Amino acid sequence: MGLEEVGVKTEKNGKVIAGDDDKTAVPNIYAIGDVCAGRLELTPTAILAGRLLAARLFGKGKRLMSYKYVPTTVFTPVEYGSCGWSQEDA
Amino acid sequence: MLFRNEKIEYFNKKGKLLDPHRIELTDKDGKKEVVTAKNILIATGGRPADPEIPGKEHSITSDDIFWLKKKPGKTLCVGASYISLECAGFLRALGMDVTVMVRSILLRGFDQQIANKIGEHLDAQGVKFIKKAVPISITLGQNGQKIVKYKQGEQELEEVFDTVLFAIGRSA
Repeated sequence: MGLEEVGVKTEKNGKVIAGDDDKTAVPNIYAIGDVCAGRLELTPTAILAGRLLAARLFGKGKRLMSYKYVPTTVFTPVEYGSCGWSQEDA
Repeated sequence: MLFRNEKIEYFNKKGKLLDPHRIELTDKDGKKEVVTAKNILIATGGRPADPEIPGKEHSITSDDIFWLKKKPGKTLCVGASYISLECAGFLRALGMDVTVMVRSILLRGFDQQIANKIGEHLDAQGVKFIKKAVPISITLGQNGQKIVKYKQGEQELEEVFDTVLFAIGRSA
């Protein structure tokens, strides 16, 4: 994609490094969703991140995406849903 | 189309950044054009990470499992991420002989008490686990079977599978 060549920083696995404001190392280039390093790989969070970024870019808001307390689930035969901290992290 | 109604231009082409404001687009026939933009958003998603072992071309990923023309048969799921455990769970429910190869712990980042309960439940369903093990290589055996060499502690062992599925994380 020519990311590195124009100055966008990526990790070894190809994921793009972006800040809390979704900005990459190049100020007018943004990244959201699974392509970002260290983000939850979930569709609903990517959709909301995109909506909030669009609002910020076009002067309709200032909110940043929060990745705290995002509920998630594991679809093993006995299903597991969780939100917030694991016992280990707490 | 929603895009057209909202006056959004849509290019089904491969993009390459030339500088922070110019993108070169290449269509399927190799024809190129350059577009410019004030802001650019990268949202190209991720895909399953490739294993780095000899014979990896004999393995598949969680993307491939839904496109198989025949049943996977005896399957090894490498990794203990939720993708690996989910695949193991539904393959077992479909009657396959399923083994999961775990390097260290199940469901890293998730509550370990629950993660281990999920492991126990899969075990009770007949999913086998090879713990504290990493694959070394895959070679082809008779009838396209996959011979998986792996290291468990200091021991080098091998087992034969019909399908080897890697779910060892995702990259971009």
